[in-house]
Parts: sequence; C-alpha cells; structure tokens
Amino acid sequence: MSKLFEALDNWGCDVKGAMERFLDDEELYVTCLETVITDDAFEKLGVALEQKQIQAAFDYAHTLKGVFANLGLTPMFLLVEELVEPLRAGNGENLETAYEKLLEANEYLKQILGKTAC
Amino acid sequence: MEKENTVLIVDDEKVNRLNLRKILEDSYEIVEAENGQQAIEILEKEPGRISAIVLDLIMPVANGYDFMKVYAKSKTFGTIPVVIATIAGDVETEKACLELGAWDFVGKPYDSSIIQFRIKNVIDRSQHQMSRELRYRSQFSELTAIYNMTTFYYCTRQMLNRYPGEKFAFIRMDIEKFRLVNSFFGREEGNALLKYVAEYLRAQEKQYRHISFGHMNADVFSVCMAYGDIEEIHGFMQKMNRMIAEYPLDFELVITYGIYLVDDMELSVGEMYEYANLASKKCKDMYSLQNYAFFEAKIREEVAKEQTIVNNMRGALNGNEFVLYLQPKYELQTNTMAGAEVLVRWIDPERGMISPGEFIPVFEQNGFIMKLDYYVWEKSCQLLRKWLDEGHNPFPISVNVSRVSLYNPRLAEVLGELVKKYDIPPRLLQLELTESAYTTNQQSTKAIMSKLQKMGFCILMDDFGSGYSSLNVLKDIEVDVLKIDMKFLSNTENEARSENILAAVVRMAKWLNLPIIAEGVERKEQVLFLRSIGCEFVQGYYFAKPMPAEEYEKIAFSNNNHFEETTDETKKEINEIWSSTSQLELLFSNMLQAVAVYEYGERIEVLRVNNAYYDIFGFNDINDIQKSLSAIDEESQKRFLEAFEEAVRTKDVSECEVKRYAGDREIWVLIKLKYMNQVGDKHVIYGCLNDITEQKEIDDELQKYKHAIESSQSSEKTMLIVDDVEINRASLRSIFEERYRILEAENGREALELLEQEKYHVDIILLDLVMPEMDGPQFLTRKHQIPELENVPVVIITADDTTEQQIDTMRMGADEYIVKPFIPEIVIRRIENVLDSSRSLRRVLQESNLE
Repeated sequence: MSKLFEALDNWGCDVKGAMERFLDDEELYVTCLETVITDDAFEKLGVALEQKQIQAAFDYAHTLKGVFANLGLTPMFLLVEELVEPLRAGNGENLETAYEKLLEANEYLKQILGKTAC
Repeated sequence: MEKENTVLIVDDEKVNRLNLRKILEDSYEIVEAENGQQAIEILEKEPGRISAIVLDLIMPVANGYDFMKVYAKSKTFGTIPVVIATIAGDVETEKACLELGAWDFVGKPYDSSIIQFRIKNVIDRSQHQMSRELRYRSQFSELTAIYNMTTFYYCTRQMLNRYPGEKFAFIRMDIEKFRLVNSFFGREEGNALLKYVAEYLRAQEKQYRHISFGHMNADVFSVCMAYGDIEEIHGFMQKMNRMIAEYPLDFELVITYGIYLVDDMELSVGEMYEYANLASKKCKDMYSLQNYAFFEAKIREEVAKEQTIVNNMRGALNGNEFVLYLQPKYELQTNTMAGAEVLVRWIDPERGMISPGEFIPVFEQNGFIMKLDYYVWEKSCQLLRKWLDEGHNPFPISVNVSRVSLYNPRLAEVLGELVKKYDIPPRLLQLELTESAYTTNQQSTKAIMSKLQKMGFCILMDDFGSGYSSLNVLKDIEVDVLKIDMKFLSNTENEARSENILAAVVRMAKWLNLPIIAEGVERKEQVLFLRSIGCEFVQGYYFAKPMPAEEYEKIAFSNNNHFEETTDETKKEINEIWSSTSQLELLFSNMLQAVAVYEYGERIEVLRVNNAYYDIFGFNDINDIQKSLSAIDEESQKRFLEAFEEAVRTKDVSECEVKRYAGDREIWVLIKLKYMNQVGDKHVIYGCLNDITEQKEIDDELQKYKHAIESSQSSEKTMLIVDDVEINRASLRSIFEERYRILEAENGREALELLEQEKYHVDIILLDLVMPEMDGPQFLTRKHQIPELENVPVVIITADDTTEQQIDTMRMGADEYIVKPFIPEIVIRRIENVLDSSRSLRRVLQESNLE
C-alpha cells in the first residue's frame, strides 16, 4: 500500500488530505481509486465534447472534478478544471487537447494502480 | 448501537457516496440515493425517517436544483434540513443553494470534521425548531394565539389551587350565529373577528386580579376569573358586549355567556366547562331574552335524570314498558267519536309512570325516538288488526311521526311494509307530523308526504300555529287535517286575542277545505267557542283523557260512543249572541282581527271598519278611502282589484297580499275577502286584514339565510359515513347535513369505490367496524395504502366506550371514536376536534418524528 501512496505522492497527489477524508481507511480509499479509473463519466465526457453538448460535457467534467478533489488526485483535478471553466462559460471549442491529457492522466493512474497492486 | 438519526446522501458518484458514508456512518444511519428522483421517492415513502439530506447538485435524472424545487413545495419533507455538496469556493452556487432553501453547504474536497459538524448543527436546529413549534401548537390556539383548551385547563387549575380563598366564576362564551358571519362575509372575516375577541381578552388580563382565558374551539372562548360580588361578572359581560357591538361588521353580533360560579373546587376544570356549557344552552332555550345564564343545581339534576332515561331506554323498549294510550277525538257538532290519537306512556316497574314530557325530548335528541316511533306504529297496527279480526269497524287512529323519523329516507317504505304486514287499510293509520318538521326540511318532507298520501295515508299537521311560518307551510305542503293545540293559545295573557287567532285559523282552514281538530280542550267555554267558530273536531280532557286500549275499546265499540254534555244551554247562549244586534256590534268592534266591510261596484268603498283596523292603519286612514287606496303601491293595487273581482265572480273567497303605507310606515297586509251579498248593482264584501309585515321580514331573513347556506354549501367540507345500518347513517346525516356535504356507503368496499369516484376529495370519514363484505379494520388497511387519503381523519363508530376500545381504535390508525347512541353535541364536538386540532398536531408529530 505504501508503494502506491508513495507513487501518488510523487505524482503530486494529496494523499494525506484524502486519507483524512477517508478517516485513514486505506482499503476504502483504494477501492474508490479503482472505481474512478473505470468511471464512465470519462467516456461520456468525450462523447459530449465531440457532439458539442456543452451542458452535458460541463456536468460530467464537474462531477469528475468533485471526485478528484475528494480523492486528492490533484494532477487530474487541475486537468479537469481546464475543461470545467470554459464549459461553464459555454465554450466547447478547442478542448480536445485538455481532454486527451485527462485520458492520459487516467491511464497513468491505472498504471500506478496496476504496478503497485497488492 | 442504534443510531438516532438517519442521513440521506444524494449523489450520482458512487465514490462520493462512499466517501460521505465513511465520514458519517459512525454517527448516523445512512440511506443513499443516486439522483433527485430516487431521493424524492425515499422521502415520500418514509418522511419521518430522514433527519438530514446531503445533496449533490449536478446529477442525471432530476439534479439538485430539480430536487430543491420539489422540496420547497413539499409538506411531507420540506422541513428536513438540506446540506448541499458543492465545489469549494463556488460562491455563485453557494448563494443559489441558499436561495433554493438549503440550510447549509459543504465544499469538495470534503473536510470530515466540517461535514460532521454541519450535519449535527442542522439536525439539532431542526429538532429544536420542531419541538418549539410543537410546544407552541400544543399550548396555543393557532388562530388566536391565546391558550388552547388544554393549556387553559391546566393554568386555570393552577390558579384555582393557588388562591383557595377566592371566589371564582367560570364563563363560557360563544358568538351567536357565528357560522353566518363565515357564510356572509367569508372565513377570513370570521377569523379576524375571533382574533379581535382574543386580542380584547388579552388586553383585559391586567384589569382583573386573577384571570385565565383560552380559545376552546371555533367561536367558543372560556374565562375563569376571581370576583368579589356578582356585579363584577355583569361588568365583565357588559364590557364584552360593548366590545363586540363596536366591531365594524354589518351584522348584529351577540355573545352568549354560560356562567358557572365555582362552588366545588374539587371539580375538574373540564367539568366546570361542562356546567358553564349547560348554562349557556339554557340561555339559548330562552329565545334570546337574555344572552347569559348561570348554572344552577337544577340543571345538574336534569342532566342526571336524562342520563337515567338514556340508561334505561333500551331495556324499557325490550321489556314492553312503553304502553299505548289512546285519546278519543270527537266530532263537535254531533259529539260522536271520530277516532283517537295514540300516545305513549312509559310505565317503569320501579319509578312508576314517567311523563312523556320527560323522556320524549331526550329521545328526540339522541335519536332513540326513531325506535320508539316504530314500536308505537307496530303496536298500533297490531291493535287495528285485532279490532278488525274481532269484526269491528274501527275508527282511524293517529300516530306521531317525529322529526328524526322524517330523516329516514325509507320512511314511506317502512310504514308501507308495516300496514302490509298486518294487512291494515292505510287510511286507518293516520300520521301526525309536527309543524316544525315541515319547516326545517321542506323539500324532502314534501316528497315523503306526497308518497305517503299516494299510498293512502292521511297526514295530520300537529301543533299548527306553533311555528312562525305556518302560512308558508300550508302554501307549499298539502296536508289532510290541521291540529291546533288550545294550550298554545292559552299561553298568551290576552285570551280574547287567542280566540281571534283561533277563529282566523279555523276560517282559513275552511277556505282551504281542511278539517281542523282542536286538541287540549279542557273547559266548557272552550267547547262553546269552538263550536261557534265552526271547528269540526275536538280532542281533550273535557271529552276524554288518554286511556289504555282496553278502556278505549269499551267506548269505541259500544253503541254509546256519544259524548254527553251536561246541559243544553249552549246553543241558546250562542243564539242570543248572534241575534242581539248590540252585542254583535260590540263583538265586531272589539274583535282583535282587523275587519273592513267593503262595497264594490264601479269603485271600492269602505262601509265600515272595526277598532283593530285602526290599530293597523291609524285613525285617519278610513276618512278618505280613495287616499287609502292610493296608499297601496301600484302592483299591489292590481292584485287588490283582482281579489275583489274574484270574490264577486265566484261569490266566495279570495285573498291577496298588498304593500301599502300607513303614515310614513311601509307595511304588508294580507287581505282575505269573503263575498257577503248583493245590494242593487253593488256587492258587499267582508275583508279580514292581517298585518304580515313581520312575517314578510322573517321570510326575507329566511331567504337570505337560505341563500347563505346554499352558497356556503359549495365550500363546505365533505363527510363520508360508512355504516351498514341505514338508521345509523340517517341519524348521523341529520346531525351533520347542515355542516357537511354527506356521502354514504354501506360497507368498506362501497366506501372505497365512492372515494375513487370522488377523486378522494373528502375531509373526514366516519367508519363503522362491523360490516358485511369489507369491515372497518379491512377498510383502514386499504386506506393506509392510498396516499391521497393519508391526511383524511377517520372516526370510528362504536357501541363500546371502554379504554380497550379506545386503545384498539388508535392502534388501528383512527383519529377518534364516537359512541352509539349518538349525542349530537358530543359527536359534533368530537368531529370538529378531529378536524380542527388533532390533525394538525398529528402532522407536526409525524414530521418531527417524535411520535
């Protein structure tokens, strides 16, 4: 477990804050991390962006933002924020790069979880 | 450990829900919903279970905003605190949350201690608020903000205990005809009046040494105050009277006071209230001569006596303690028997004969009169059958049909079945209905009567003249015979006036071809008088007292059923009166009936009038008849002339109502014309004139009242009565039909069908327990499954008044119970209590989850 937390820490995550929120329940925290990497909000966000459904795209991005904040996934939180703010202002243009970066970050998280699986 | 409070987490993200659950599960039960819609479903199903809601805003299928819109309007869960989960620092969203009615918010990422703290805070606050509201509602009248009955009773008890040396008066007050205020001016105006009275009482608090007051229900207030002498109480009432008279409303407001001077401190305050209540009823019986009455020990005795009657009535009926007595009726011109009225006597083995005057009013009030009526009808049929079987040709006998029995929609069928069962020609069983029955429920009475007449029954109008709208009644309802009670006439101080009235009634009855029976004839002078005015039938002690059937049979079926008068001087006396011109003159002049003799040719001239005529129109009137004719308004003049033409054409009688002026006063006069004879080409016509201005005014008032009732009916509450016994339904209907729109069902299944038809728009359900097809408990189970009926109170109809029964009733989910036989005051009070207070209290209890 400590390897995983170390990797997350190194990536820039706020593991300490997250653990406070999870009342030091490491197992639950990991379950939540495993849940988030397969969250269908990633995919739905992509579809909404592609189809220029601004409100739906905002909703999914906003949802992910809250989840990342709670899990202390700061790098992903910062990435999704780049989507949330333009979408909140009604702007859905040129967000492909930011979305790609978000997917890459999720892949990275998957790798960390995979490599350090107990 | 069982947790006291439950938190509902509403978030579409499983991760967030897991996170929140982790933070809160040590202190609270957790329920989760994935979106707003699911949350609403959970809350509607179990509103009392949830103490707080944590709500995410962005969700699919009814997001947080959608949820809050429903929440803001919800009566079921709109008071549960909501904490919104938003992303930290999003000030716009935070403001929006509060505008939507959220109690607080927490930012993401979550801080576990802040969340725990916020949830604890909102739950504490909501429970504190709820219990404060609950406490307030349980102590104060919601409308008038003064003590309610319970608190008033409690404080009064404290006050009485604290000052044992003081004299106290307990005063119950209500506003007469308050329902009319609501009907005429609307409920808001009615409520404003009640608040005004409460405000005044509050202002009086400092004026008295020791005083407590409260709002009991509807328009009823109570005051308990220390007093030195009785004048202090009168002073209080005078102040109250002035206060109500000053209220700016175009309606005569009168407060009625029932006062109990507390002479027994050991009594509960509730009993003191009851005594004051009994006193106020007494003052209502006095026809408003004064608007207050003091409780006297006599009243308590009367109540106890009534209770004994109620306790024994059923046993008496089963034990045949009610015995039929018959009072013969005679034809006056020949003195031969013409029938009898069946009366009932209660012969109690221990107490002896109980006067009908004692038990009939009690039975009329509790509805038992219906059973007694039926008993008498059946026994009368048996008597007639016996006489027919013995080969007699019996005279008709008349039985009483009480007002309560008239409410039975099957009355005609019931009587029809009886005469059929005993094979009696209906004409032999005559039916006596009191005049007041005609006036209270005209439409249905008219329908029932015409049905009975078609079946061959003869209808007698009993106590004619005792009500104030007799003339109207005769206009609308066809009866076969009129009965007038001499006692009613002799009540007045001026016997001559009574005789005039009776003479007028007999004359009128003749014009209408109605036979008339004078009852209560006790003296020879009365007989002479009745004969002189052409009354056909008599009944009374002078001729025969009520007697047991055996005795009646002896007289009725003997050859000698004549009544023997003591002397034959009668006819001589009458002849003298009529032959003596001077005495006739005297009689004419001094008759209290206004009379005019007219001559009708090319124009109408008044030949002469009597003194009573002057009483109505003044002395100047007759001096110029043309002037007096021009005093009649245009439309009335036409009717007046037509009446003369009709009297001349038919050589008989006619009548008309005219409006005219006497001086500067506008009056209505009923003129009855009787053709006398022809002199040359002119006709002499005799006219009786009655000032009917007051009658007209009463009619107008009645019309107004009727309109008010009719217009208020549309906004009236609906009551569903579920009982398989028709007589129970009829009895309850008679109690409530002026206050509610009544629906009826014979069993639970029929009630459910009816409720569905009515789209569940019903305000209260009265439910019998034992019924065929679907009984009371089964119906209640089904009712609980219908959300629309959730707040509709149910009152159980039971014959069992025990504590176990009360507990069972409450356990079944009913709100109250009423006990058979129904005592109108109690039943009405119970129902109104249920509707007014317990329902709102219950709702608060449920919402606060404290029950």
